[in-house]
Amino acid sequence: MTDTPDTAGTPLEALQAAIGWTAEERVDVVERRHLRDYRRAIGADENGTDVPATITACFLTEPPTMPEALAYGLGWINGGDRFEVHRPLRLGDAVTSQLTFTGVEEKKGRSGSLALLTFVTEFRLPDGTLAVRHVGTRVRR
Amino acid sequence: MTDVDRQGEEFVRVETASLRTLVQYAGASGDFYEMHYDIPFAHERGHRELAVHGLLKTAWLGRLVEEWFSGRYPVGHGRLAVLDVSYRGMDFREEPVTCGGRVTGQDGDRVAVEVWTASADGTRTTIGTAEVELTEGPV
Repeated sequence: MTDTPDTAGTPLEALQAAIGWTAEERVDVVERRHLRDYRRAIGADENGTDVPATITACFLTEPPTMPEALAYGLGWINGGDRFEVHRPLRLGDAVTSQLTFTGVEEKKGRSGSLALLTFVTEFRLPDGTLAVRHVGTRVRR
Repeated sequence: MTDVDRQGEEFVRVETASLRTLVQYAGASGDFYEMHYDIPFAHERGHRELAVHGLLKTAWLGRLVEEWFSGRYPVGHGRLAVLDVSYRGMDFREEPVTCGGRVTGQDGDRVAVEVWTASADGTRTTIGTAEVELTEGPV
């Protein structure tokens, strides 16, 4: 998505007003082929069947598509990631998730302003069990 | 419960991302932000080279911690419960990235680990912590 939001005010004000924005809900399955591709990409034995704790990174929409974010600055930088694994994922698990924009903080430095955006995503199993909670800090500048 | 008696011990591994690595990670993760594979795009944004995905560095750290614990305890007797990182600098393709971990303490069945990545000049480009949960049996 490349559209910019139709809002009055500054890009920061638009971001503040967007707190609570959610992406579309998505369902992802830990599939054997995908697990192999991910394990290979991170340098693990591609034939292994253990599901790395970070695999839910693949089920995030990166970079986020929130229009108010795209209207601030020129590009993305990743500021940080937190994975809380409550129930390790296994091959065949289906997880439902929905990314939520939870906060913004603007900082001004020598090279200009930047906005620190916080996104929270909970990955739940079909019975509602929380498997993984992810907190991502993404930077627009 | 297994006790960790290796407090303070450091473990490191050096990773280097080629263009192939970055494309493989983009394909597996679905993160096709051009900064990771389109050199003119990266230059336009002031970067000297293609940047390594932050989440790839996090995955390296997660694998480092998981493999370090699995190499010392029975398989399935320790699992990565929390991995929390902050990116302080960028790393680039074909440049070595040292991934490190150090056991810092234990609280009940949780072992605390400091984690980091460092670029070739020693600058820490990622800092963070991990928590590994020790269990009586396979997870």
